[in-house]
Amino acid sequence: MKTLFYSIILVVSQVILSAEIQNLDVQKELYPFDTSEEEIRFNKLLDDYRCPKCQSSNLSGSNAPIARDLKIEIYRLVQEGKKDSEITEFLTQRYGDFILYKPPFQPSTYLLWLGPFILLFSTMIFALLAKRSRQKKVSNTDLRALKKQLLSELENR
Amino acid sequence: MIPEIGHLLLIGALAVTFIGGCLPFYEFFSKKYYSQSYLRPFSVLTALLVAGSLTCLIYSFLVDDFSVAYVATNSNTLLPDYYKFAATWGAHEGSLVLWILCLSLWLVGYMFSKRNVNDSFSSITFAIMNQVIFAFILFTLFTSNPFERLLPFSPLEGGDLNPSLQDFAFTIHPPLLYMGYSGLALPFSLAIAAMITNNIDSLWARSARPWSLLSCAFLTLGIGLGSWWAYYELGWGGWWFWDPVENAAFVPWLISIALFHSLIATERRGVFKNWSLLLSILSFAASLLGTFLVRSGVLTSVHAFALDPERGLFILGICSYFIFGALLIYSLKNTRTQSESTYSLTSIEFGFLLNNLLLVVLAISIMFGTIFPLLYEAYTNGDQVSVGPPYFNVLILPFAIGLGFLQGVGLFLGWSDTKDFKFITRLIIETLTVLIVINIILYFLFGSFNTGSLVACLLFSWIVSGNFLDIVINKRPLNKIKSFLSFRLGAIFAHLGIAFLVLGIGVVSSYSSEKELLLSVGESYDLDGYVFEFQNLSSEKGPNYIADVASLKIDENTRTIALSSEKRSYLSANQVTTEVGIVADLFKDYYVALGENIEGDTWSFRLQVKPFVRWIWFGALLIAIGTFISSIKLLRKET
Amino acid sequence: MRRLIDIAPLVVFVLLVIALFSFLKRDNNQLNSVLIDKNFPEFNLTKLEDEEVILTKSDISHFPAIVNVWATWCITCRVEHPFLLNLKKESKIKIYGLNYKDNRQKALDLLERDGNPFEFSIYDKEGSLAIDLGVYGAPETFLINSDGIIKTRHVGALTPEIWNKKFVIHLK
Repeated sequence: MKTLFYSIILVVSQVILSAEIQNLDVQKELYPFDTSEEEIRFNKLLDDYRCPKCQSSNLSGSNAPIARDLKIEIYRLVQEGKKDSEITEFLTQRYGDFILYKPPFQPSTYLLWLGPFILLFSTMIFALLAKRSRQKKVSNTDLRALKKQLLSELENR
Repeated sequence: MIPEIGHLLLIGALAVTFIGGCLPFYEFFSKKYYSQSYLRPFSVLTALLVAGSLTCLIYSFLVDDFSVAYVATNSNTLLPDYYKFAATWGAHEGSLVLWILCLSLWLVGYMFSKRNVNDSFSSITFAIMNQVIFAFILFTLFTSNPFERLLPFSPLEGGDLNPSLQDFAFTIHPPLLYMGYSGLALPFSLAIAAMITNNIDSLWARSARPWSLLSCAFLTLGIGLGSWWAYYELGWGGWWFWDPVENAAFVPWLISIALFHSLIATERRGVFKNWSLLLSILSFAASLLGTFLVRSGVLTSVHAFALDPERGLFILGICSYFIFGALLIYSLKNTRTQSESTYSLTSIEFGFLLNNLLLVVLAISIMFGTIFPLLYEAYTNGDQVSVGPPYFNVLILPFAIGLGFLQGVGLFLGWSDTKDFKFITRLIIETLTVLIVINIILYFLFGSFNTGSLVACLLFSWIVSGNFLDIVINKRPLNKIKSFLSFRLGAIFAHLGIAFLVLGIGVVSSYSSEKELLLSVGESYDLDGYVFEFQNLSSEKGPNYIADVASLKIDENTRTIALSSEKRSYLSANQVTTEVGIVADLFKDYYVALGENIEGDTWSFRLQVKPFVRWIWFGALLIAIGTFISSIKLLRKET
Repeated sequence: MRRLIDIAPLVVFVLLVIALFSFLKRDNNQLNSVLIDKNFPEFNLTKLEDEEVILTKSDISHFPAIVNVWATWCITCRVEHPFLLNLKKESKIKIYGLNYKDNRQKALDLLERDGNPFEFSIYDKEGSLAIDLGVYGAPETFLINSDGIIKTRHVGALTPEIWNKKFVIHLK
């Protein structure tokens, strides 16, 4: 366990040495960034990748050693200026699509991504049609009742 | 001896529910009514037998009877008595007995809520409920008997209750959740009874409404507590993770909400009869499917129970019997039930219809997303994908917007048609006012403005205007407000609860800040203007654990707050849990999780400031209160 | 039409039950490797036995081979250790070790004490090759065929049953 943290410290200290230290507090951070955009991006990535070991938690919520290693790896990649898509590719080439909590949009997942909205729209259209046909039916019966009433009135006359 | 008595009591309940599940059917179809006076005594008897059985199990836990396998795996002598008591439903077998008790309590509740149960509708309802209870007892006895003994070689010391479950919220979370889950069996039984006895009318809708509301209230409390527990116990500050277990409770919750809205329309206007029937079946199906997903081990999950495909098969059998049977009856019966009235596109009926479509499509989609990885693996021959929070958060947004919009206008719509649309301009003005006020407050609280929460703020303003503000402003004089409030109190509470929930979610997900740090004793860190100082670290000894306790001081501009965060190591199973240090006020939580000791007095920490997170659970509480109020009002009118 | 709508829920439910039933028979709780049928990744790491020696992919030269990810902190690795020793004795297959996030001296002491089934071990202190291999926990075992292609991966302790089921079929 300890070796793990030494490696984290190693990475962190290297980064700190390379960057000019402006705020003393930065030294205490495990994953310091130059810009807050990078940090937001980093946190978002950790939220969206699944921990391959514990399987029911994302990288940011996991304490598994592999999750920490991957965090450090992603930290390195973000520091290197890699784009989100490149980082995702790096991970999926090693761990497969399993590691993405947000499945890629591709033919095999069309149903997952589009299914709910197709279902919603089709049921809505269906509901509207059903409502209209019922209205017609009811108004027809109304007309028939009216006709009957008129006829009986005529006969009575 | 005591465990055997418990076992026998459960078998007794099995016998009673068997008779109760068959006799009314025999009477109904043979048209020979012996006497229906047995309904109430039987339901009480079942409840007493199951309660007795559960008591025996609790007793076995309290006296550390490790010859009982279930006790031996889930408790030990070091465990405090309170948690021994709660450990009874800490794992699969015991939780099933609790579930059965909940079912039989619902039955008793129903039987005594009516003045008169001497009709075939009541007796068929009774029979279906008995069949459900019977099936669950059978499941317990055959696949998951909590009274099984480890004889003659019983262990001297037990395992442990999962340390993260040794916690107050977790002791009451399962009873509430199971109350909600099992409560959906009652609207289900009522729907079947209505179809069999051909009573698909507003009287049926009337009798099903309070029970669907009550189940929803219990589910809300159960889910809310579960979310709160995950927030402070799992140590990373999440309050909802779209985990299969969470979805298994969330889906029935959504459907129960759709159900009681649809039932209002069925009762008052005679519309949506088929739809209400179908929803009654669907809500119980969702509760059974949830049970299947959680307890069969097909999905891996944080809080999954012991995995056993045999149990999965049994639950699938139960599910098939009830839901297949119900849908069969539904498909044979319902063509004759035609609605009597019409409604326009701007009527409350149509509003309910849209609300139902959104809720049910959302529920189906969540269920689909939950099992999608399994379907995918089967379909692609072994490729694995994950469907998690980033998917579900995208999915739910349009539905939440649609539902929020409907909630704002819902109370102004009239049956069959709405004549006066002046409320729209008022609503828009009020909404914009509230929106501006909220954002000014947010700006003053956090010193910046974040567009991420704009949608949530807008929904909040809209719902609050439509459900509260406009009534206060426009329903003068006072006594008019009073009567309106008392008439709509439940709905107003529940809708406002949703508003607070949405606002909490929006603000906490866009204004939170978080940092992972290494701090040595004496060092401090400035997180967005709040200075956290690591003051000291001490070791403490609990009843069944030892803990490292870090004391911190948080320096706000105006005051300092003390906070301590723990890392516990439980002795019996050598498991480690984090006990997060939280200081909460109305607008934000400070959230500090202690990590590992790196070296000397340097520790890793995770610091978070989570604004408005309390509002999420406050909202859930309001929803529960609202639905309770509505159901109690309906039940009191009945007698 | 009306009738069809009434029966639709029933049909959907039956399909759902069939799907759920088929899930019950699923016994795969392992994460499948995406590196199957791909080349073994390149690496550049020191040898466990001698920190002066730099190993690369070309040092894994005798095929078919298995690469076993192990560490002294890994308890399950101790369980499968006798199997690996036995495999070395009874089969022609070469076993290469990947010492994963470990302490060099401790690892050497352990091999000294329990026996060494490996031709050599790659010393992956930072776990970089492990990440390239998609390793998520030790022990893991990769089978490389005579073309240097990864054919299968097993997570967890190897046993004769698993060996026969997952590995032997790729050796013919």
